[in-house]
Amino acid sequence: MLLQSEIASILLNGLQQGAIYALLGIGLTIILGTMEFLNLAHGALYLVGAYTGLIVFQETALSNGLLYSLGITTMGFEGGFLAALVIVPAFGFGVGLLMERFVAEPFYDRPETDQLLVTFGLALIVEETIKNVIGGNTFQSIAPSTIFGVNVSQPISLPLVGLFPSWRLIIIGIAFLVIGLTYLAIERTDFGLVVQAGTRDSEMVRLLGIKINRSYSLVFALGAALAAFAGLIGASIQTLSPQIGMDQALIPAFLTIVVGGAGSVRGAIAGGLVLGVIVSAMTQTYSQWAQIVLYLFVALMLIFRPQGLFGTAEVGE
Amino acid sequence: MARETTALSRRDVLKASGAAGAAGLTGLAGCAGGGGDSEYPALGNYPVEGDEVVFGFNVPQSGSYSQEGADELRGYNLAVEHLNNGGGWVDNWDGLSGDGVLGKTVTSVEGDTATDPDTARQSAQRMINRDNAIMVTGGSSSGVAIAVQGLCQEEKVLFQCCITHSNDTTGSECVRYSFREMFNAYMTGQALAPVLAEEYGEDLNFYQLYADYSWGQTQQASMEQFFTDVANWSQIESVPTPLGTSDYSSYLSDVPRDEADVLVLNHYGLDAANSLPQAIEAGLDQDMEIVVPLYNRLMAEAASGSIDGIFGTADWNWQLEDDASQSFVEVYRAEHDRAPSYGARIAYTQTLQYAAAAERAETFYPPEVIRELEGHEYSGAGLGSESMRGCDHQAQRDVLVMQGASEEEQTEDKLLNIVSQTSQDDLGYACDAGPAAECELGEYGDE
Amino acid sequence: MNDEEIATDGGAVADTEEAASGGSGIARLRERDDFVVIASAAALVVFPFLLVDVLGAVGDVIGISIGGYAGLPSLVLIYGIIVIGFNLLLGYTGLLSFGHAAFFGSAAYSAALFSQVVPSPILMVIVGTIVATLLAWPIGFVSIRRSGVYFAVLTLTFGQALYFWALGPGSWLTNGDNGFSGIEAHGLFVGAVPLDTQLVPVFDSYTVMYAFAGVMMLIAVWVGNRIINSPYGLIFEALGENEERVEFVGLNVFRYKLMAFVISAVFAGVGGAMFVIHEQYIHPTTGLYWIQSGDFVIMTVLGGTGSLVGPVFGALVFEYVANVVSGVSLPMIGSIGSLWRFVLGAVFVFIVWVFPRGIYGAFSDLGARITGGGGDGNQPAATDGGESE
Repeated sequence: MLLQSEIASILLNGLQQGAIYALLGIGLTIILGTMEFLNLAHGALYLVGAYTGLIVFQETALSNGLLYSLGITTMGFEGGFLAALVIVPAFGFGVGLLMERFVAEPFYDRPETDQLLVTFGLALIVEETIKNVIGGNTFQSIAPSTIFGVNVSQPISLPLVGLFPSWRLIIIGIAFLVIGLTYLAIERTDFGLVVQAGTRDSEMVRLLGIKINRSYSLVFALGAALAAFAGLIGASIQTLSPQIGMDQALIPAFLTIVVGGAGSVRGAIAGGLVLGVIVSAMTQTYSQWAQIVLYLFVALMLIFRPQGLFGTAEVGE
Repeated sequence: MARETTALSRRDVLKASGAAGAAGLTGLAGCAGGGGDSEYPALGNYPVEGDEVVFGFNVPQSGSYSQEGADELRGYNLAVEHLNNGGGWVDNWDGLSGDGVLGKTVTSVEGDTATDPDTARQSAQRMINRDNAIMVTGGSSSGVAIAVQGLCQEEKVLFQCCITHSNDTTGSECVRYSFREMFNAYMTGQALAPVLAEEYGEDLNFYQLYADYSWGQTQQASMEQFFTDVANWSQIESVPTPLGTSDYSSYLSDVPRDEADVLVLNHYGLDAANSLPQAIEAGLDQDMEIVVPLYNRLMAEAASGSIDGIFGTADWNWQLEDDASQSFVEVYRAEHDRAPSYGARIAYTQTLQYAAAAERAETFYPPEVIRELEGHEYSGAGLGSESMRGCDHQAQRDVLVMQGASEEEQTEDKLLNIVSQTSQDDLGYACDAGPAAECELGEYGDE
Repeated sequence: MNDEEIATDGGAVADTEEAASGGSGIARLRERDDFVVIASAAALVVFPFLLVDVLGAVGDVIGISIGGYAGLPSLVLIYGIIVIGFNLLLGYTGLLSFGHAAFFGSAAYSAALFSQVVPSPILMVIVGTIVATLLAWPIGFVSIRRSGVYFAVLTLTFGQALYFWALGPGSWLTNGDNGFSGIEAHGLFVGAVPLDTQLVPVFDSYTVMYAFAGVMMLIAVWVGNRIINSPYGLIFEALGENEERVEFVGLNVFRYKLMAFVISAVFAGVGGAMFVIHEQYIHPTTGLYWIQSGDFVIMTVLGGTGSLVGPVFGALVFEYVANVVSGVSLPMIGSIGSLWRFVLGAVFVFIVWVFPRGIYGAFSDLGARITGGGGDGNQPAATDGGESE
């Protein structure tokens, strides 16, 4: 493979993986920054998003689990992917509101280990519930074959890279559109101002008389919606099973925010892309070292630049 | 760790009759049970006390192979049902009465291996120590099977392998106390190479991805060996991928499209369910042929449309038309409304094999049961005549070459078509060749 | 952390004792030292009997197998040793590490490798612990400059890097994903005194291995107790409460934190080596994956971070659910099987929500309420009573 095309395909693969990391990271970082709440159930939100997508997107045959034993052998609405693009984040938003109200709020004033443990327990419960209700088996990824009448299941030929799955190109587009909109919402709206101020100094915001608690539930819900959306995107290129929340989402989300800087939306985007490119570059060259280099890179970041790419070192300390 | 054969446990005392218990308390080894089955010294969980005998079913109920584990368990429970009450193959096999085993009712304990070797060992340890399992069976990953059979050798409790396809299981890691019905990577290579050479031609270049653990490594080595020797193909490169990788796009980007004629994906279960569709999504199937050496239902279901026309091997398939296969499919369907996967068949036959061997030995004493299993020739397990070879405990048997069905053809049960059934005469290796050359079985325990 | 005085022997409030005992402070300390070790020793003697035989008998009566099995008591003690150390870091200095699997696993692998040379469990523990300690210095040195999430993620990254190394590039040494078996440690003294020899006829859970684990446990309790009752312990505690204040007094905060980190790694190292001796097998997922580090956190907090031996109860509940409850078949519901993790999740959430001081804390609170005070008298009751949970 030519060097130029090698680099091009590394960047493209990195961009695609990085987009998912960034979506996860933004959600986690605003929750951590605004409320100083440590959410280990963030991976579970990704999982919920993936399965919601599955239910909305197509009718799926079940082969074990509670529903199956009750005689329900198929599940889902065949709503298509566009419907899922709307419903999944909306559902995630709702779950986020509930979670903030019933799980996070009682723990705001408790030590972070308690927050950690309760959300970790919650993550286990969510994973096991899905496994026991829908079944522990693996479902095929839920990529649509056509969107607006255009066939997206065929690879297309790109300059330098050669054949590339066209659906993944669309994914990159959609993900960055959502990332961009979120960024604008936080940079340019009053709600966003509260988030920004809150991540810097929630004490001050309270002193200024802004009812930050009301914004809390919105922030949490937005973070959850983004995580669910990331789950939908992930499920359209990888198989679904109840383990994906823990295996594919939780740790990358945390790595992303410490690289980017806790509380910084810009940092989460940059961090996600940097990690995505590192992983794809290493995988295409020295695959056995890919994960090791990824983790050591994060460690070096933390040692030499604890505030991350764009953060302030205050948050999460 | 082998348990002290002279040690006396609480359960011996509780369960033995008073006189024997008293004798036992004075330190005599082994106490006579009620089964009149005491001509041998105590070993492992022998003698079996009371009127029940316990089998341990150690399958993945969580983790990446949990779907297979569920089907294995269905096969196991069917076997227990038939052993106790007749039905299925029990009615046709010699020596099985349908009235328990050696006059004792079969009961079972279950454990969750979580597809993790250490968890599997914990779970097997519990079955052996607490529940007095006389035989443990299960495993859906070669890593798990190898870990558990090592423990069973130490504990002197028989292990009947379920799904494990690595050469090492009956090769370098083989043990006296474990038997394998399933075939292995070596035989996959032997079965697949001639078919592919005929189908795709000779002098091709192939590129391999393989899961980086026992099974994947032996699978990769066997593919290389037979594609090179039999089909005269040449390998470009083979790349390890960590077990449990979910996105293969970077690995697949590296496949040289202009150079490679065949892409071999040595992935199983969840890994394959990701790598195969992703390879097709990336258009690799337009530039080369894709081969998935070992098929299973989980990946066929998850990859559905992507497997159209793709070759691989399988242990057994419900579409086989022999009487044994059909009668098993029938009883399974009556119970579960769908066709069994091959995991269910191995689970079923391995449990019955043990029971029949104990009946032939007329005792549960493990060394005697092992000797009955070694060299045993049998048929009526769905694959025609088979034999359990004594030198490495590897079943000598036919292997099915399969091809993925097209999307239109596929139904809930029918995902693959049988291409051919490769005879055992064209497969395998001598006791001093191939994987068997590295096998040292170890002790019976009565030496 | 609670603002309450940390009671070394769990829940006993020191002030009341100070009034009660007329002796000098040192004599009182000595008494308390002895007391914790003696109470633990007493508990260790009855523990396997309760876990295996009593629960087994109860199980026989109700027809559900809820009894432990011969290897389980040792396993609980091994994890118990680890979490006692882990709690010195988390409960006292308030540092939450998500990378202690690195010390557990590195000790386990080095003990396993060493056993190929000299098959002596005692030397294996020493070698494993040394390796874990040597690894803890540099990791601690760079990690403890950070706090909160940053510290947690930093320790996690080192652990994960090691895990992926053991799985891939390092598999020539660790045997990678195939797991490391063939560990040569069958006898306590280079082949003599097999570890699975039964010490007491009839009760097969009392083995040499259990005695070995029990002795190590007592040493761990004694050492831990000495540490928290020394000036060091007071400083650790003060660090957890208010770091600035300690700095203000002029103490080197960094040095004390590093000490706490290394000490906890020593305990994890002992546990890791013991684990390999007990299991005769080690795999990267069990040894080094972050879930293992997470399990340490879970056990510690489940048991209760407020006391020295509290976390051991967390280890007990965790291992019991994982290894026994997972195999239970209930009438009507059927097999628990993979539901055990659901049970575990539900237990966590409940405990964290309702008993922030953990299981042990809850029991000692209860004991205190019953006796109407925080005397020492209720402690043994809590210690043994917790066992039959």
